[in-house]
Amino acid sequence: MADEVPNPQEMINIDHRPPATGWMDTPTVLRKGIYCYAGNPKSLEYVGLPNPRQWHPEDDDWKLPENWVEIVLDGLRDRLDRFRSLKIFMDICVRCGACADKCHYFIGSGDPKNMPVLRAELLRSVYRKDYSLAGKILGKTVGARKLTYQVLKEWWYYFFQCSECRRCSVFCPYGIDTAEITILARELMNLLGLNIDWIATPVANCYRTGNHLGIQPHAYVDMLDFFCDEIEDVTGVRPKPTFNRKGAEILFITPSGDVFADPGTYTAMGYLILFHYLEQMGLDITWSTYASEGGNFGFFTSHEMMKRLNAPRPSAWGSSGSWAANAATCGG
Amino acid sequence: MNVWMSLIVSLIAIGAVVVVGAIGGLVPALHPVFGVVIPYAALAVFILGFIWRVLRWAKSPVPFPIATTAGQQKSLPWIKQDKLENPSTRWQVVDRMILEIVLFRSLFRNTRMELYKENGKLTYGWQLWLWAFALAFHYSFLVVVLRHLRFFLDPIPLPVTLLESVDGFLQVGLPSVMISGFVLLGAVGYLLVRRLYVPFMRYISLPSDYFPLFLIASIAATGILMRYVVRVDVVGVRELTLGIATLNPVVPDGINFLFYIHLFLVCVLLAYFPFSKLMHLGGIFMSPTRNLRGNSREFRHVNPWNYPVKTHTYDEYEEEFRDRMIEAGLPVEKQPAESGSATDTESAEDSAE
Repeated sequence: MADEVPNPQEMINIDHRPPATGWMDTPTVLRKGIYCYAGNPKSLEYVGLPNPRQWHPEDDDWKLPENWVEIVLDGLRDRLDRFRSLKIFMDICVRCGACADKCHYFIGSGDPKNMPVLRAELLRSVYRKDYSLAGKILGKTVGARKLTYQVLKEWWYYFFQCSECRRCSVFCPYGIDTAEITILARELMNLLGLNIDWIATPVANCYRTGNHLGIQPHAYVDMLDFFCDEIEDVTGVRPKPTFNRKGAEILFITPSGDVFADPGTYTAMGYLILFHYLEQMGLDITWSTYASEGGNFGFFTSHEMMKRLNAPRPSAWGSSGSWAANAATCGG
Repeated sequence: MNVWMSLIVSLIAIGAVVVVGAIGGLVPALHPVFGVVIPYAALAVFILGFIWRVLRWAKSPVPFPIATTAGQQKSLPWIKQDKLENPSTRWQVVDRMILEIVLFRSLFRNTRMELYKENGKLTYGWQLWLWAFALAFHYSFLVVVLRHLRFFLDPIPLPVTLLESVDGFLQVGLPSVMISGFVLLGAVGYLLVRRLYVPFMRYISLPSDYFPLFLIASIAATGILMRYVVRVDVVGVRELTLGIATLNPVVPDGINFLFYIHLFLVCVLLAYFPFSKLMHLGGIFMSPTRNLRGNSREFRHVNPWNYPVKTHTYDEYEEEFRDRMIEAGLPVEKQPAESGSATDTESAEDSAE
């Protein structure tokens, strides 16, 4: 984080004018406060992600496998064959610019490579070099460039400055969805162990404890118990939630932030009060400590990780014979 | 590549096309090549290239339902669904697609952000110019293309004649002025000026953005020149184009070289089309965010390449936390004695943050 917190007057001083040099010729400088720190190797190791190691984004050497270009290009080819969206979105953008000022990362930073169109071009340029004859022959003239270390660093910097909100896709006349492009670009980077710790460690926590905060089963019970105390203090009624109870009709899953920090905790207390009422009406509800994350944290790493982290939900549901209800998720 | 380089590169490319076309028109010996061989070749490249590109897209599956859901999904009966922004039936998707393709609906909602640093306010205003000129551009182009059917069909079908009379309803000049050609040229001009004038547009534009604009502008300009300024033997031209359409190619003498420039520009456009961003014509129909239904809660979508993945099973979870679960009064599947191995409480401790 930045050492000094700027005041609102300084923060609004955003320059949306692009630099004079073309975007391919403008080197990307990783600014402190904009990038997140690298994924903790222990977290990568825990879930078996490739190339776990200690590294720092500002280092020159990111300690990549020797054949990293090959890994990325093979990965890209593989994903083009598996996602029609990627293929079409790589091919049909006309650069009309309708998406540009719809992105909150661009609005807030003024950095032109945060315009969805350019964020996509970062990948598209490499795609053109590899997949179009014109790109191979004419290079920069048709917006194609080789995948270099600099390009990879640029990918990492900008593809982790996208929250996959899909607002650009609402305004795009062809529905080009940067979220789709960002997800797949991050998959490619994860093949090399390029991640950020805001994602890598929550992912490892989800895998191990069932929730991204790493709340272990006894602590989960404890936290809800504490909410019950609060509710009893105020209302005089004590809800009696059950956990991991087999045979319950409804398995309730909420983002783990709800049991951990305000204001989510108030939501969680609301659930407890509601369920107390519903149980009196005859519904049969249980909570799970194993499937204790309603957020979709795998989404920020890869489609595969999404599936791996979501697995506890149907399996907890299957073993208890109940049907699952998932409260509002975060992360799509 | 900065804006000057991009402009120079694409202008040189267009200049080369015009010169080659002019040579084809000025050297009579080349007329069969430029009047017959190249048009057929360009048409073949266009059709085969278009099909190849669409098949290439179609070969990749759509593994997930990723419709852009910019409105209320179909839910309980008393919750109003936004049928256009989140269609749940095929017909609703058709409605969404028609509005998208025919009226450029997504572009219609375009806004422009403005930041007022003095008072720290960020505002959005509805911005219709791009939408209006994009519509003008595409529809005038369509009218021009349809009008040209008179050169390829004999007798000239009534709809084409009717279209011409609508297009020329101003009844100014002789031959009467066709509005579409000028609208096309004007709209291309706007798109070009916008690209050059708006700083971020200039920044994202590639030579492959300027080139098609110059190409289409040149086609429109040569067409307008031939109609209103330089006399061209229209009968001869029609003989040639009809020959192409009926697969009986003939090359009449005495057609002005301007026509050969015009024709060659069109051939270049056709051949360039499948390999460029112009393929948005095909892509818009296949864009998964627009042509899918937002029905992920209604139907189970199965990913065609779904493969098994390593997961953290409940047994593994219980194995690690069993003692603590028992302590907290949680039900467990196995009792500690049965499990055999003691739980490593050390490692369980260090990840609680």
